[in-house]
Amino acid sequence: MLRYFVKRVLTLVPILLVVAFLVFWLMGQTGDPARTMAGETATEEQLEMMREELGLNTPIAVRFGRWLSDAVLRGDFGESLYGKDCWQEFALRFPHTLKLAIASILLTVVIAVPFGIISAVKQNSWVDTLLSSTAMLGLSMPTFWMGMLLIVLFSVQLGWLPSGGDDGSIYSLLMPMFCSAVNNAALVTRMTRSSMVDQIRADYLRTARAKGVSEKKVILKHALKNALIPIITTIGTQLSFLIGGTTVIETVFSWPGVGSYTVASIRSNDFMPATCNVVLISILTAVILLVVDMLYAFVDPRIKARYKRG
Amino acid sequence: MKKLVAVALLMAMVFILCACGAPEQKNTENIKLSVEEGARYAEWVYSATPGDLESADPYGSTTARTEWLTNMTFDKLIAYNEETGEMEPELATKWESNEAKDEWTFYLRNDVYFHNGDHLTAEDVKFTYLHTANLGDKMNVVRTFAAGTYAESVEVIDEYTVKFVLKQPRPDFPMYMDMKVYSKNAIETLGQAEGGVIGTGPYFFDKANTVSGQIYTVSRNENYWRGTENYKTKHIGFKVYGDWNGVIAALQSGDIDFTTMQSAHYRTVKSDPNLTIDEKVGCTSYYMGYNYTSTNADMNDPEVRIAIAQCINKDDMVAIAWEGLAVKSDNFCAPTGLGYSADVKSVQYNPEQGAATLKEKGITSLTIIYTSGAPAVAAEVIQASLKQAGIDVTLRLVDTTNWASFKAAREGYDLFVDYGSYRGALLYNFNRFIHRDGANNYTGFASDEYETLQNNVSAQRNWDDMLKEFKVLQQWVADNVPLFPLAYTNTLLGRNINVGGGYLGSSNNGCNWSTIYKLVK
Repeated sequence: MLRYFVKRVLTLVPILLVVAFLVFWLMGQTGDPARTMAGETATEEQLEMMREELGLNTPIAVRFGRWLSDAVLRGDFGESLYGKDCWQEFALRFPHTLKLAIASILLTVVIAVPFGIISAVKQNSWVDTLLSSTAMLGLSMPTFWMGMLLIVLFSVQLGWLPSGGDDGSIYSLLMPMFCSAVNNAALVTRMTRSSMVDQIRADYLRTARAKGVSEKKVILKHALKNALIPIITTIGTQLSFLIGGTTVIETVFSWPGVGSYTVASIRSNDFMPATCNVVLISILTAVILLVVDMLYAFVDPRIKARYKRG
Repeated sequence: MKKLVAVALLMAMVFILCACGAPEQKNTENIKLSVEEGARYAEWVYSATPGDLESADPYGSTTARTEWLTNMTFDKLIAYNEETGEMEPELATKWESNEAKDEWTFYLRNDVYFHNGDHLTAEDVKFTYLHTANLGDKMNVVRTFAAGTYAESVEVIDEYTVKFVLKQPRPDFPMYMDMKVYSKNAIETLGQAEGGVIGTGPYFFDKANTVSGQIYTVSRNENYWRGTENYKTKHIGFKVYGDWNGVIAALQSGDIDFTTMQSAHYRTVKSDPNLTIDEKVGCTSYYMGYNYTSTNADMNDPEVRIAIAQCINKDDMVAIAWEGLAVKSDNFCAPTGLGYSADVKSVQYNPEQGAATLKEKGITSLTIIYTSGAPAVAAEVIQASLKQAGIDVTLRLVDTTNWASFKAAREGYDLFVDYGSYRGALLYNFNRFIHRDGANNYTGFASDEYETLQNNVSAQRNWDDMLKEFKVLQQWVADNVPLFPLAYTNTLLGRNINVGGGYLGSSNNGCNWSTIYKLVK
């Protein structure tokens, strides 16, 4: 298990390096930061001076090398065009993103897993149809549109909830959490249902029932445990996506997280914070996916045995 | 099964209809208040911006957010009054020049203190001028302002008198001196980041109530040299929103009290009984630029430029692109700009003549580039106008992040729609857009005749003669259309009915919210 873990971590290093270089290079292709910073009245001479000061005239490989060595050796991820420390800004925003991601994924699990199980158990009944239709509705409704409707209803008309931002209260969390959970729950419900349906038909469950095991135990202990791997994979992927900063939700609800900050940075050609955010999120995503892989071993003894074999 | 689907659809429709209905519940809470009936001034008033504050240093960024904030936290040496077109005293009580107009002396108030307690002196004015002119590090390109290179030397005559000795005579030098003044001591002791936010204005940048990415705040300067009587609000907070839709929703929900806004939201705000809108003719100039290196149409031929301009229906454009919240412009100089002449008339709408000329010149197709929003709609109107003249126009949307570079490359397009803020000294805007070395001359236009005329303006030794020559230049630009002015958009302020005060400028950058207040029960 440990060997597998170390092997996976070592595999991540070149992947993250490639990701970091691609992000660094691509961000550098989007517009001219010097022009953004100097404003519309800057002369070409001033722009050239600004490019020199920002190091934009240095070859990309050299710039990337410097940035990487500063980031790895000194934890210095660079500065925004306006002199803000990228790491500090990330650290300031990440807790908001994490809060939203965790709240959203918890709500997703609370809604989706029971719905998926019920749907599978009551397969082809009216309950199944209702839950599947609801899931389909949640999946097909664009997040930004639902977000705007929620704001219009609960903030503008009813005045119950703040229209945006994170004031630290549960009220400001409710709409973005619900909005992102609805979309994710729809996916997880469908995945749970499909996975459970496969298990419910399996021979070992028929045997369990024949041996007189209660239906509740058959479903929750035997079927669910074996159906969990695709569900965990989906939830893990959703979580990494959420931690990446759900840019649309954060923008619609003005949530001060990493996603909205990254979008704002890209819009203003401020590519250093955008690069920093994307690279750090890539690392986090890789770690989450690694943790998800490790979790497989706890729910499936076959995988655990495979890890042991090496 | 069918019933269930119907129920699900019904639920979804109820949700949507609830969201789209009239805002009844909130309206009952809000009635217009007055001080006479016992209302008091709120300690906090909130506004919002679609994006975070870049810098609280007046020379740290060129964005409207930085301007709004520093218009409240800094005073200027002297200030331009948009209504009168005159420079007015602010930190300097008076100013004068020698006969040759190459030495300008400013006399400062003696009762002004910075937010950190430093006393304003002539040394601060000298320091600010030289500091902003010094291209020493990356931030200084932003800090540089146009007049930074005009002075040969700056002399401190006494504690409250400072003299600028210019490299050449400049009768319009005061027009450049709407300079926000730093505290020399603050910057030297605290550094640029800390000291660069300390001004003398009626409000100070309140770091304790500022959270990056969420809110930035200014709080009242209780020792302001003008007193605090006109500044009713203790704290003005600017909440950070993701986009303009979020800002407007916040205004409607009461999360914020006022905001500048775009014409696209005019009807939404206007229809809300809790809100009201202030409008002002703005100085944001929309214009059509020609690509002078186009191989598709010879834009160096004035007849081609004039013919294209003649085909464009500006009335339609104002009605469609800005929903009537703009005025069509006949003069590249804004009505609020220095030296504006209402007598100047640009090329008038004459589609028949325009079409005939374009046919004669063999022009059958053009490509126009633009960014999203109002420029996109303006470009569509140009397309429709030119289509009537038999010209096939291809529209090409360019992302804002690449816009400046794309224009500057001058490839793959013949025309573009753009806008800029028309503010500042007499020749500043004309030169930056039209002069061959102008910072915003993306078109590639170069004309000896233009440069001769602008030199005539600069060569004058008194202000009235400069204005006279500037009028000649304005008419030349209108006749020769190096670029074609389309419209000046109105600046709009959406506010709660119980919010008053503040100054709505002709552009977002020119607004000043120092005197904003809100009445509460």
